[in-house]
Amino acid sequence: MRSPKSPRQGGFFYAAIPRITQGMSTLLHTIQQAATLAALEEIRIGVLGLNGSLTQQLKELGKLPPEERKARGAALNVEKQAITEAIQARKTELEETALAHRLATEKVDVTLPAARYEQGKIHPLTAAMEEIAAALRTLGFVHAYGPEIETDDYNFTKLNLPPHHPARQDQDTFYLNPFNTDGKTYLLRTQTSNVQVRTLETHKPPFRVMGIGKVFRRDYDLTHTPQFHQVEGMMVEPGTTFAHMAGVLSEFLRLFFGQQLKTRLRPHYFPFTEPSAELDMQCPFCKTSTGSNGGCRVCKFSGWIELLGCGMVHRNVLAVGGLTPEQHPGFAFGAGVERLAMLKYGVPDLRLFYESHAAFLRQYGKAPVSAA
Amino acid sequence: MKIALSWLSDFITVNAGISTPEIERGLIQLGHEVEGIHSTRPPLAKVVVGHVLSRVPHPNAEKLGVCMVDAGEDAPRQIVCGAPNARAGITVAVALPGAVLPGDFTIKTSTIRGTESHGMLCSVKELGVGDEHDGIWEIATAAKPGTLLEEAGVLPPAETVLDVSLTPNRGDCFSHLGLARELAALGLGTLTSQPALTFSSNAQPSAVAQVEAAACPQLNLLPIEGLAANAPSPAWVQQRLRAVGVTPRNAVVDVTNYLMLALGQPMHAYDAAHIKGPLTARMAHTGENINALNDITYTLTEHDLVIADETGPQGLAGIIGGAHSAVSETTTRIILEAAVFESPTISLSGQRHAIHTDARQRFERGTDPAMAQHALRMAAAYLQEWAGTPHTKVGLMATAGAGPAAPEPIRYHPAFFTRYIGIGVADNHQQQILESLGFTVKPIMTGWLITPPTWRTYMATPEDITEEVLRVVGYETVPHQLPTSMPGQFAVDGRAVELDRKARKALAQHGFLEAMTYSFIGAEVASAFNPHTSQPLTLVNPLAQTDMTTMRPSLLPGLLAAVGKNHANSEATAKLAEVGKVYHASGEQLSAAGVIMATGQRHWQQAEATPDVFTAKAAAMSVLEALGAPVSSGTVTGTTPAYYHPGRSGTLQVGPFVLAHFGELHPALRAQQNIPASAGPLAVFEIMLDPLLKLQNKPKTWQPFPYPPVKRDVSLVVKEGMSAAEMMASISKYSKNVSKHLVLDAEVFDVYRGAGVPEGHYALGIALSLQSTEKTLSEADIDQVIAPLIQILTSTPSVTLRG
Repeated sequence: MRSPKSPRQGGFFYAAIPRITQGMSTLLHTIQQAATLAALEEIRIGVLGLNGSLTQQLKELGKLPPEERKARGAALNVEKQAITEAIQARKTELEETALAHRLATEKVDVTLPAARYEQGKIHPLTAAMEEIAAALRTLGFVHAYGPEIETDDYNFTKLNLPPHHPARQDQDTFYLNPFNTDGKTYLLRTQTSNVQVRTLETHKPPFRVMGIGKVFRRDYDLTHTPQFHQVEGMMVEPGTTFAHMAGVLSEFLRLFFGQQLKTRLRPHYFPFTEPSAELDMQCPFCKTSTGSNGGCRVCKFSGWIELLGCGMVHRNVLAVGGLTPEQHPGFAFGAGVERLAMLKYGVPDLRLFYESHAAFLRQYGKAPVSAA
Repeated sequence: MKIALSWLSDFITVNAGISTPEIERGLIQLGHEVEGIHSTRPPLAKVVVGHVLSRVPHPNAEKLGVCMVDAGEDAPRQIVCGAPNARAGITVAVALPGAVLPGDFTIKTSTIRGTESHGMLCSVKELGVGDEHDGIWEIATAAKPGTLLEEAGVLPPAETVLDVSLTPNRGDCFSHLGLARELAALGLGTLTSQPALTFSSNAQPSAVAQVEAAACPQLNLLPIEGLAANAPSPAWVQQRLRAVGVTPRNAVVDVTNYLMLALGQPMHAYDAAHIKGPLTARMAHTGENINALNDITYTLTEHDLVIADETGPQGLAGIIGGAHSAVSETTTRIILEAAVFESPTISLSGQRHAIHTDARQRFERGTDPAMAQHALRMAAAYLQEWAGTPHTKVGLMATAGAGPAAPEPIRYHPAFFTRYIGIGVADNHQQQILESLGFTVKPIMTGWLITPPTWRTYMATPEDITEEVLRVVGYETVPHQLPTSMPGQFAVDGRAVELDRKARKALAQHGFLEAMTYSFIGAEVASAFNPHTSQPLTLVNPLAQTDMTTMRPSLLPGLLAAVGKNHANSEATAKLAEVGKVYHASGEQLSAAGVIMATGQRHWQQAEATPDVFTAKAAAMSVLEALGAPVSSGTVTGTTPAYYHPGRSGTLQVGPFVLAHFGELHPALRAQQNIPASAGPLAVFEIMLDPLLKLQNKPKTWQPFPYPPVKRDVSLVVKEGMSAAEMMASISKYSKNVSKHLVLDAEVFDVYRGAGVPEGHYALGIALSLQSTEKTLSEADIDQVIAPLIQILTSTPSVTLRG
């Protein structure tokens, strides 16, 4: 016959075997009522510990006659198992309660501010220069170098701009007081085109090079800063044509701006290229590309933005490297980095780039991971 | 260059249907940027012809009158008018309410001192058709009252003016004739033949021309006498001059301006009464003076070309005339000059004396040598007409000089066009384009021999010819093609540029905001922040701003100025950095610098660390490591440039290269840089980037350690003055000599001064780490290594083991 009692109250063997321990049900009740893990442990030690009441009884089994010993042993073990299970059950209960209590008390106000990682930013012009370089690198151009302090020769004369050339006046030049004894006229480069000369002098074609860096002109007003940045590109390879120039430049702009915008070339004059052109790009803000739809303030209601100067490298410039347009035709171009950055990032005023307002640098600067 | 369309039509008959926008597009296609198009005056709506019927004084204002004006309406209009000449019987221009006069001045019905006024009687100036404003305009017209003024035949025609920006190679386009030629070549019209102007030449008056300088290939003089003194030029001439922004003076001055703008040939008129002897084109004597028309006296050099008479220079050739022989209100005898000058001489002379004139602009770009004499004849004919008297006599033209060089022919092959430009244009089409631009094309065995027209200076190469063809065909016809070739091998070394960009990113990764400041700074601050013994570089011609005179020898002043400015704006700049060039006599160097300040931002959980020399050291070292510098093989000393705090700054050197300075700013300089105490402590560093291109961080071969490291702390008592680096150097030296199967690392973890440490000493805690490649180390093994090390460290009386 089986007892309907649950195992928690002694297991199903319990009813089948005569009770030995007096107060077994009280003990089980006490276990269930143990308030703390410590109290429960105390009960366990009192009953099942080295000197516990049940342990004592088990120890005394040997004193009994063999015929009693077997039955009593079995009964005691059933009781031991029941007590052990009851203690474990209560322990689990108490632990769960304790954890729940701990979790409840460990709650914090996560809306409080965490200490911030200091986020650094590269300057928007650095970002623009990197994005320009990335676009040009895709088209096979590599970095070339030209110094900021340059001789008159490299900035002008070798670029087919002799001292009397009227185009020299378009570039108000900063000159340096003599600081060495070589007798040369030193100036702050007015254009990155010195990179062209230096590459031609030291390298053999074919090459596609870019020179991206700082230039200086003696001009300081609403739309000019005495220091700004230019990107210069030059490709000299047999078979290069004006049409390749048109293709490379529009692809460069597509890569840089991340969208296909119309471009148009207009004849222009630069002493170091022939034929020369200026490239206008469809205004990225109003995208009209004609004045007829009204245009916008950025493009002065013309639909077009004047973006860069370019042309086929002039015979007299190629001659610096001992080359001719017949054998080694090439093209070169130059654009203002500030203008490209203003158009791409929507910077409203050129002068902001050089005013080091922390708030400006935080807003328009780029995380170093985002730059190419 | 301003171009009046009606004036342009003197030279070109544009095709039917060609209007201003087509002309604008044509000019742009040809390479002449049109910067603006405007009308000399806007059309005048609601301005009508009126008759003044009566005028009575204003009851409340002495100077005002109340006029009744017939403006062609049912009833006369009452208009209050203050003009002294307003009176009954005159015909006037009446601006009705709603009319908008130049200057956006809208006419409204108003009450003036209690009297209603229904419109305005206008002066010439108020209508924007002249400068006269002493009274209202009394117009002479048969038109009935109420007729629109525009239809009354009294207004000068509104002139459409194009503002064209010309490139320096197109001196030939600085005239109406020049741009007419361009438009005709594009096919927008036909050049008109010019009317022949005639005049009789006489033996007298005479002038003598002499040339003593190669810079003047041709000097032409034409003497004229018996002119009416100070005669005005005709109204149509004055209108045209005004339309393009030139103020009319008198017939003689106007004719030189008029012909320069029409034909591109600058001219000069001398008052013959003030010329003694022949006029000679010669180089100036060094130190010679000329008082020019602008009332400035220039001291000349032997590189300046002058036109001189017996008494001295009467003009700086091709640039500006002299005041002495300038035409005046009483001039009746003149000598007109039209010459050919070499552009380099004019250009350099103009640069030297900083004189900007229309004449210089044209001569330095090159004028048409074939135009000089023609322009003189035109001037004589015009002057006879405009200022002639019965006594007017034109003398013989005097000419001197070697004569202008003939244009150099250019060898060209039409097939070059396709090869160079990338599109095909048929040979005969190319030839037709070139001929329409005035070139002569002569076939030869190897292609064509092309002679440019006399007016095309800057024409020398076959590439120049391709541009001529291309701009007429249209740049927009060129397809956009990408090169199909692979570019080939590049030997170009771009590491310097890449290092610059990497440094910027490394600083940003270390929490710095990148700033860009100007490369020029003030002289005083440059000298304070000069790490070199040589003087900083200075500009010959700096901007007016006194803080932009000297090339920066350090990036710190610019950053500190930015910090100061941001602090003044209460903008926190915890970490600001810049990467850029610094300059000195031995050249320019790529440098990086940073300024670290407390943010001043409080956090509920953490106290902010105060920036000090070690904050700066950490930043400099970490950035250098990020850039691959072998920082660990360097040595740190306390020697730094004078702008650092002498006791709280250091220098990192690797091999022969100084890689960084770091520390606190010298307190005196901080004050000079206007960074107030309220901005809190501040640490700075500078990194020299160029040496990194020469230094390589050789990575050690990686070796796995299967056995765990054991750690031992050693605490030493060290006499002040002995640096931690000295202890570390001893340990490093020792560790190289222990078994090759053992690796011994050491790191300072504690520095303590105070109770328990004798006066004049400090306690230095060093954490040692031992690791074997062979086994797990036992206590005995460890003691065997560490005991001798401690003996070495304490072998000097300055160091003892801390008890």
